[in-house]
Amino acid sequence: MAEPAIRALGLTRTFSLVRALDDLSIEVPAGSVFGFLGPNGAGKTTTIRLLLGLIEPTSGSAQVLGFDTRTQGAEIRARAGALLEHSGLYERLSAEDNLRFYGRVAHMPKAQLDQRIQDLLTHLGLWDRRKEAVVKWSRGMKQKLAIARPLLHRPGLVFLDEPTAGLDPVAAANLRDDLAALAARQGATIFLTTHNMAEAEKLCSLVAVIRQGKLLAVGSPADLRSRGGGQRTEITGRGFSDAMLATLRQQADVSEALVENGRLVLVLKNGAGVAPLISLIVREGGEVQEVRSGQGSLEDVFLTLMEEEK
Amino acid sequence: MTADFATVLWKEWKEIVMERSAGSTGSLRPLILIAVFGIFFPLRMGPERFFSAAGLLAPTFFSAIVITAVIADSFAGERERHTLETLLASRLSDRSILFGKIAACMAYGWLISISCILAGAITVNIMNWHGRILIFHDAASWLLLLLGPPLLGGVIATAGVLVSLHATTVRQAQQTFGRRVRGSVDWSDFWKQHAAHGLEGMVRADPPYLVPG
Repeated sequence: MAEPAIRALGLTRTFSLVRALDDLSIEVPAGSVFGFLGPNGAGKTTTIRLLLGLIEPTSGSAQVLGFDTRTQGAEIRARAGALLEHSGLYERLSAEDNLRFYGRVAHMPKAQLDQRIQDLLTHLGLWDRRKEAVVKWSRGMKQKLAIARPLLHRPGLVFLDEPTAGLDPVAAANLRDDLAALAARQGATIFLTTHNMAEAEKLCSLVAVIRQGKLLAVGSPADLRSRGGGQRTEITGRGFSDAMLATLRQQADVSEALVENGRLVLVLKNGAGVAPLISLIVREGGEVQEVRSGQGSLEDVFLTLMEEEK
Repeated sequence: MTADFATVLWKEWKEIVMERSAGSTGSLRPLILIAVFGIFFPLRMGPERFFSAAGLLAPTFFSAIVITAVIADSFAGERERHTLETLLASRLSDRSILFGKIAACMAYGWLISISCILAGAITVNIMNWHGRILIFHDAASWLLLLLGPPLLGGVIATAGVLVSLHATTVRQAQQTFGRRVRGSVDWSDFWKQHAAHGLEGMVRADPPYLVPG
């Protein structure tokens, strides 16, 4: 079996009295897209800093690409690309100069660097404006350039902290495709933090959920959905009164009942049947036109986990 | 290490040039300095005074002061604009980042010094043209010309980088560094010894000095 790209064991980091990361143990297989999910302040960025060897753990250890984060941070940083919390772009410089600088930092040969800059900027639709100072660009354009930067030297491991923040839906979808292609074509491992559950669901083969520095769950999106999300049923119709919602919430099989965009949404416990509930809705004066049932989304799982941990 | 140092130097130099040419008040500072120490002072000093070690003191010292305007930005600016962490997350060693930043600021100060002195030499030659080019004629002048700007600039750049390294914002770095520079130089003495001397030269009409040969 191939060596995992990242292996953390009991990784803990405290800042004064705050425990930012608490006993984190994860393994990220090489060549996978790993989603690290959590609310603000959960410890996602701290984890990336620890894995890059930028800060030392208070206790525990981690190996990245076979190197110890405590003693071989430089080796890790030489082989990885990272888009951290902020874009890290030099806004007085042009897009081309920003990429050229980081290409030179990565010791890329000039001809190869020139070609790579052209390829990336053309692909992202930024080539025509490559000579402009980045400060004049829109947030979305800057974000695209910020994403191009860690991919420039084709690293074996890429850390991306909220990469699609600030991108329009089309650009975000394109980026997701690019990242999936990068992982498939180059065998690169992608460690991605995001708030966007749909993004994690589409892109990641493995996700971990973290809250207040503690790992809550880890597994494939499908695995997590089946474990925690329950069954989600959407009912289109009329007459969904507050009294009916209250009655539904009292049923043993119903975890949640609410009206969303005019539709009645029921989150049912695993194995629960829908038919008795439909009868109940009709008895209570509701009119049912369409019923759709499916597995709860990753977002439902995430929200359930956050709720459980409160 | 050398390649990384050169890469940081390249980036820093580009940033300084882009900032100075962005139309802010900072872009005028070197031009004012060149106008004062490269044209106005030499014009009043005359060739004898200008082509001496004493004449080199003012442009050397004041152009080193120009470094303070850019040095505060080195680390504090990167921290303020959230680029420092990305830089540290790259393969660059801390040493190459530090020395690259110091070297870029030194080079900037040295360029301003040389520009002032060159502009001064041209001004003095034009105003005192007698068929021969006037240049510095003693060893002390040449020594000061060659070593003064890099040495003084180096000291200021190193001190400034260290201050900037510990400051959270550019403004804090500028204030702290300004206080330290003011504290280390006795300005009243400086004016008495050098500026007053320079003023004396400005009002005195020196005969043109011709380099033998």
